[in-house]
Amino acid sequence: MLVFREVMIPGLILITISIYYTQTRHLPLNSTIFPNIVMAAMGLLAIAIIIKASISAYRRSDFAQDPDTSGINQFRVPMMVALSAGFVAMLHVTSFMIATPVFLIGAFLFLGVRPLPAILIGVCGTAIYYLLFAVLLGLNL
Amino acid sequence: MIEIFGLLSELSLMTVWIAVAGVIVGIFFGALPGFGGSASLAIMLPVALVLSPLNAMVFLLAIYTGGHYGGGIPAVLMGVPGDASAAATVLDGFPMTQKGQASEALAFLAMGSAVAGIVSIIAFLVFAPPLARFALSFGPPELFMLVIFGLTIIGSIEPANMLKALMAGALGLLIASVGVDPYLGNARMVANIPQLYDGFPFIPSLLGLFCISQMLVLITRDNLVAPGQDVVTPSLKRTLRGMIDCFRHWRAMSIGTLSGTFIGALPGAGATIAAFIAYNVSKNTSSDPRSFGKGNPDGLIAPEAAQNAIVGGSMIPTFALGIPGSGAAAVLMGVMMYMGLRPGPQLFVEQLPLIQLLCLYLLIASVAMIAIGAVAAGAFCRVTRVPLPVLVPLVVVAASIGAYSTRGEIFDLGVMVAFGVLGYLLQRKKYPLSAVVLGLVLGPMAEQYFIQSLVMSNWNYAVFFTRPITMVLWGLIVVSVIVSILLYRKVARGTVEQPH
Repeated sequence: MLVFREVMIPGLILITISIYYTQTRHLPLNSTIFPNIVMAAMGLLAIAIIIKASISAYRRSDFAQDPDTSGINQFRVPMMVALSAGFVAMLHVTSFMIATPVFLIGAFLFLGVRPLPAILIGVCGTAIYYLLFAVLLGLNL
Repeated sequence: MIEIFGLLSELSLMTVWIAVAGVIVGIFFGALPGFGGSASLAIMLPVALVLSPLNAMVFLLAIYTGGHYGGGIPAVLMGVPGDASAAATVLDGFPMTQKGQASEALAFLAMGSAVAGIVSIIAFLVFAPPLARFALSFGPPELFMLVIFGLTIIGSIEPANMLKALMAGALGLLIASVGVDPYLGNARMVANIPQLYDGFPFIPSLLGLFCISQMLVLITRDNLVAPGQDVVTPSLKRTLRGMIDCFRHWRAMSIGTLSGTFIGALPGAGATIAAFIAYNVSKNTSSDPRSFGKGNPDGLIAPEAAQNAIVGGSMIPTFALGIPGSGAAAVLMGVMMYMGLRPGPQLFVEQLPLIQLLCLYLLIASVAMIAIGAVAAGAFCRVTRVPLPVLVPLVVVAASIGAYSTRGEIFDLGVMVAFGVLGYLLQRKKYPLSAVVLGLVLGPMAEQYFIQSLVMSNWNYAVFFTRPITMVLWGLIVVSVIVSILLYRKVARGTVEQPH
């Protein structure tokens, strides 16, 4: 399990460079020479990190204070990402003035803000952002 | 020679206000625990992007300046560092507060930061132009090697995680290579998405990496609403007296300023390293090293001066060579490129008055920091205790506005969220995000110089090994790698104190 945590990123990187290489191998060498060199370096680094993690796990020394033990708090991350993705989708379908308060209120409630302050800050926050960015700075929201 | 009077006549009151506003914003975000300098810069990008290039640079650099000082305020008053580099400030700053010397500690903080900032900006004005003139003689092979030198020195960011730092830098390079290649115009890894033909949009990527990922890290904390803690109210009279007393500690201020300016000028090295080195040097050369950690003013002034001297120091390679001196400098460089200014030796030829004016505004920002620090440090500490459940969604919306405003594409918001998740994963596994951003900023340049070098030499790779300056740069790369390995071995043996 500990090894898996450490090799997750180099593993994902190895998959990514495999996809990148497969997608670009039909291109002329002059177009891909630079990313190919970078990918070769990344592949070597990924293998080195995996070997180092395996040795460390074998010795069990470097994992004495592993930071990934905060348990249930990790659950907030995918939920927040889902809320953010929902906000992006809602912005696409509706408008800033509708999507923003809905997202803000939803996120406040999810993170434990009481309903009344959540609604008030959500609505006021949207109005302030609109005034600042759209009216004052002239951004097209 | 800089024509001071000519420059003074170019000053605009509006830009002065922008500089002051930048300092205030920087102090605010700097004082928020968990908000680093790069995240503060990223969150204010939507505002900066609607300003003129000079005003935007003044605003961002003032935020950067104020952010380092702001990080020290909660460190002194509450023992909670605003960012990693302020951890060195806690060591003697908080004991001073516990001894009833909060006003003096805040005065040392403000004056030490401001003086170091001013000296480092003067150092930039002195050293950057000759460096840029020298770099003007560089051809594509030298410039490519310079970029590689900037990337290899990434390993020194975190000696204990050198492999991860290098991997993060390489990942930034690979991400930057997505899109149309600069030689033949073939599309690489675009997956038939038209928006990707120009590569991943820089501003949304930056906002995702620094803002969204930081928000995701913050919400995993056990106590989202921090328990109430009394904050000492500083006395204005004692603070002002402390500012004058600060000059009695000129030795610590000099150590901090010199180490911050020098380390800032090294590509990749950051404020955390500078602060701890200044603290250690000040302690080791002190006549009373045992008082360090117990409220010795030198132990507060040296790291704080080093953190702010980083600003001017990191501007030297950023502006003169086009190699960012830190993660925040990489953000600034990316914004400059977005606005059509290309940092590097040519900038000094084409835009010297602009750079001199920028420095003048930064000097004004440093002076403003003294005034703001004298009257409002305690207030900042209270205001910034915004509960995270309120702060996080508001920051996500502000970042979304920034990502959307650059091109008006919903796609860019998706990029921001995706990079946020990537940044979160990388942070959890201790891959430095500043290395990814260095790779992102330097990637297109590295590839362009690489291809140009090969074309001019008929695809002969010996061009990177046979020219005198490239040989020197190879030597510097080897030295930087060896130093990183030695540092790593010392950290592994526990003979060097870890900045974190």
